[in-house]
Amino acid sequence: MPAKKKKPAPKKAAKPVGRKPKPASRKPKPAPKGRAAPLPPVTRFSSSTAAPPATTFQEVILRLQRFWANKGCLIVQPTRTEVGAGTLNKHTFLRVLGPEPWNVAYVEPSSRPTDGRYGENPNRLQHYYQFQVILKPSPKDIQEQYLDSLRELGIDPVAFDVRFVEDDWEHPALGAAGLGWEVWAQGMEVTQFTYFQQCGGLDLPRVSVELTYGLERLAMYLQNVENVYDLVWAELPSGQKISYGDVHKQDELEWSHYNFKQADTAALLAQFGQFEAEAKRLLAVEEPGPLVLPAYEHTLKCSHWFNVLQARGVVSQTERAAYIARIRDLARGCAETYLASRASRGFPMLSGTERALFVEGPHA
Amino acid sequence: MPELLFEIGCEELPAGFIDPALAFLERAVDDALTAARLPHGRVLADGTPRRLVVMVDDVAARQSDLEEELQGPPTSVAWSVGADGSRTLTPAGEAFLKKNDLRASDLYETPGKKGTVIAAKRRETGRPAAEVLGALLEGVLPKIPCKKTMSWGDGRATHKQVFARPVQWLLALFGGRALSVRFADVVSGDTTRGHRYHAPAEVRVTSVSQYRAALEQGQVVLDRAERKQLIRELAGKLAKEAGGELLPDEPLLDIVKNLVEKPFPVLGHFEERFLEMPKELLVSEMREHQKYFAVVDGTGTLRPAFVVVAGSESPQKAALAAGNARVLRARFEDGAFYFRTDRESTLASRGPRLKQMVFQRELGTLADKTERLQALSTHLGMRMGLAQATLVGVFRTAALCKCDLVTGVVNEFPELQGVMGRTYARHDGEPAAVAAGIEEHYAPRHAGAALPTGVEGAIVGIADRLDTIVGIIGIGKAPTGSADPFALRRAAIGCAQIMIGHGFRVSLEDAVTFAVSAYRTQKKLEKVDPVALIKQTVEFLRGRVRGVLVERAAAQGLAGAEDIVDAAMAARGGVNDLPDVDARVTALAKLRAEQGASFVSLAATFKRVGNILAQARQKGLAPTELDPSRLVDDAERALYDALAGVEARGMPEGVDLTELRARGAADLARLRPSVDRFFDKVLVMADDPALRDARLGLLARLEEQLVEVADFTKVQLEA
Repeated sequence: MPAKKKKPAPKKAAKPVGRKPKPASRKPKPAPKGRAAPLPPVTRFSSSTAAPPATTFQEVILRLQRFWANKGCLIVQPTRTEVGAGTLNKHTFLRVLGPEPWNVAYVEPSSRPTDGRYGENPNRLQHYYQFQVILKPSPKDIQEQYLDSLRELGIDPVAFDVRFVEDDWEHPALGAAGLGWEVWAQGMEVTQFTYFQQCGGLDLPRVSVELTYGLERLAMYLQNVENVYDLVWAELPSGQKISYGDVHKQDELEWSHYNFKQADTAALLAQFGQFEAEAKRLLAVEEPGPLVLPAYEHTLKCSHWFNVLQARGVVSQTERAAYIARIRDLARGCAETYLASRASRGFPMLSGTERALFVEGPHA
Repeated sequence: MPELLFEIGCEELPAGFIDPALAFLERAVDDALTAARLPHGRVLADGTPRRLVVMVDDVAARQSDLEEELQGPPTSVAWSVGADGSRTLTPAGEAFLKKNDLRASDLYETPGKKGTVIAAKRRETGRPAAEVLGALLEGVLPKIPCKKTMSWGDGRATHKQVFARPVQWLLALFGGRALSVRFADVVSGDTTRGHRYHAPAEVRVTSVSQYRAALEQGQVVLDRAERKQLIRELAGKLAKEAGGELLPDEPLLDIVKNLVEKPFPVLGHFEERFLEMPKELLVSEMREHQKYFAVVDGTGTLRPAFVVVAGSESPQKAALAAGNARVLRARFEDGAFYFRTDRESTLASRGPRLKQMVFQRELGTLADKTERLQALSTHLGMRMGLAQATLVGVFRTAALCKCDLVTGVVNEFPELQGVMGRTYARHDGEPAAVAAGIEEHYAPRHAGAALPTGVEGAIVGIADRLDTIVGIIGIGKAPTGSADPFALRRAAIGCAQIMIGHGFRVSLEDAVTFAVSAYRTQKKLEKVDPVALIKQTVEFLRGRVRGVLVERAAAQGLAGAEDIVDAAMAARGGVNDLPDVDARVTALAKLRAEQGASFVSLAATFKRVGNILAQARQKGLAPTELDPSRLVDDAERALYDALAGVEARGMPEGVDLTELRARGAADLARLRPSVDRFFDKVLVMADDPALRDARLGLLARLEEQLVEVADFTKVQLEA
């Protein structure tokens, strides 16, 4: 009984509580590169109808980018340093701090060295893609927006039994935590949906919502394939199909060897220490003041090398906690320093009313 | 009379939050109405993952009028009397007026608890219910208990209110009219919404019955019990289609009923080849991550099928079943991979890897713990006089019991610890008793769960718990108040239950002493005074033992046996033989239940024995060896004979000790008439020192027998 008599709900669309579409006048000073000319309009589907399924991997990415661009998100690019998840990208980790609004979407190539299976396991990869969306502050109708994004991909929430199942998220090394759900489609977790409460050990004055789509999983459902390497990445105008395996299978084999057997552990251990020292030094630069963005990138290096060391099996259970504590201290230092640096610049992205509420008002 | 309807519409709430929240709402709204002087009918709370609802029948349209007496300070404090006899209010009296907004003319005098006080009547005319209900609900809502709370949007800067998940709408209706209730960024209205996908439009609500109809039409089953029953029936029907029935799983039903607003169960299948894996592993894969119900045949064997309870009515059931089956297959493949690779090496060969797992930072690794368990288990087994062959099994169980913690399957599913140990031990060709012991050393796994069936699991289970208790207390982390992060109380209760249930006659003090020495052998807890640690641990254990004994008596219909438990635990044996203490508690509590008043006088009599001896000892009159020839009175000779009879009953071979203890209590009861007569006829503290000593000696002999059973001074004499 697909009795869908949902009215367009004009009220909701017209009144997104607490979040305004970014007007051009409030552009950040150094305009991020990803902020291009307005994108061409995308086909809009009424919220009860799903689009035809996205049949290629890249089509999934393109549709999500357009969808969220039309919702007022900046489309930015992945970080250049290895990360375990899109959350570690500075566009999330640092931007969720403090009162400045921030709406952004990007693909994040994510590295999980221990998950490598030499290209043999149909579901496990040491390198995979997340689609990350941050909306700060979280809009009142975010669940509906999210469901619309699934419809845009061709996923009808009823047919796929899309459900929001409690899953509170925590990343100890980042001092980050939030409440939310894993979103199920046909029993498969396709998205992590989190209302950020804390980051870098700091309470957040404005709550961001983070949506992390598992792109391979979504694509496997949409293409109905059982093996990730069989995914169609693209269908060229010539009709030729390029598979996920064509793009990444050699990566998986070589990187699995590297992560599990070849990585020079002595060198990595030494580098961990060097990166840590460098991050600390950068946070303490006196003139012209702390260099938090370079410091954060060195923190990410530490985090990644730690993951590789774990895959190499050279981190014992006891040492593990100590390494995590070292990374957490760096992350916390970066978070505090970043927040202070934005404050010293007067939180340039705040609007007048926001400034009154967060900086000059009683909640400053 | 009008009805009250309140609905809190939310983004999907955690399943475990819903039931406690509704229980709270039902009680809190009831209490708040009463406190607000609003007589009302039944309060009913129910809900789904997207709504918490309270409905109240027959709420009075107005508050009852209030008339109450306010009492102030004593008259002598409130008024000062001048030389001319005129009275003026003191500052204390003025303060009373001011606080209650009264005038001096309102005051009168009335007898208070401690003499006459000043007083006044306060009258308040009841206001219309519609005027107070909004604020009443606003007061209740933020108090709903949430394990974790969250903010959303700019809530931290604006309203500052938090909840388990964002609140989307509020519906508050009284007598068909909307009330005004504010919470967080929401203002209440008179509309609700149906199912998220099937009926998302807002619907105006005018009454409870129309609300219920709207939800039903909107594909929402508000009643939790009904959702549960629907799942049971519909999923059961599907299981039958798959040639079986649902594996009974009440906790899973309780979770799943709160994952959907209306259940739409779908049957899925998996490949038979997966059935080679242990049932527990497959069930864990299905229930923990996926919340699927397992299907079993009449003998409890798994069928290659599962039931998933969807939250909406998919037009593509087959695709939905296939999609869910695919997720399950990937999980099973993963499980199968671990199960296969786990069995490539034996449990025993995993021992060294326990060195990588920290038990507790100051107490070493699981390898250290294993070493201690081997020593302590063997010690306990020897104390119990186990046969050599059994001791070997106990030792082996202790050596292997933690090894499954470093397997792939247990790493994925920690709740399978023990189960996988047993499975792998059998695969390795370990003896069945050892394999069973590995699984059972975790028993009882929760309150009320079964005890270990075999001696191997029982002894290693006790050793494991004692080792943890001693270690954690040793590092200064004994439980305080409600904080018991290492679940030491649970562990101590488990120990006591196993010892009693298995009839283990082991001295707690001896066991604890050995456990402490096992740490010290490893050069751990060296900075702690071992004597103090032993004392603190035994004290801690005694506290839990007491609880277990009281509970066991209550379970036999002998409630309120706390004093008898104290008396039995203070007997000579102390807590050196828990099955024995337990038997004496039961025997005495039964005696009290059967004999009532006469048991009270029995206890009083024996109490008197203890008191007289205590007084004598205080005066330095320690009773010497009894010389029966000194006894002169008939009454004392009769007591002597009766006592000799009890003493001579001895310890016949082959008689169950427990039964003997019970008989001991009955024997003592039989001594009572002789003791009573003795006290009637004889003055213990006779003038003749020789006679006095003989009588004290006789009482001391009697006490010897009594303290074997209980310290009667601890028995409550008032019924």
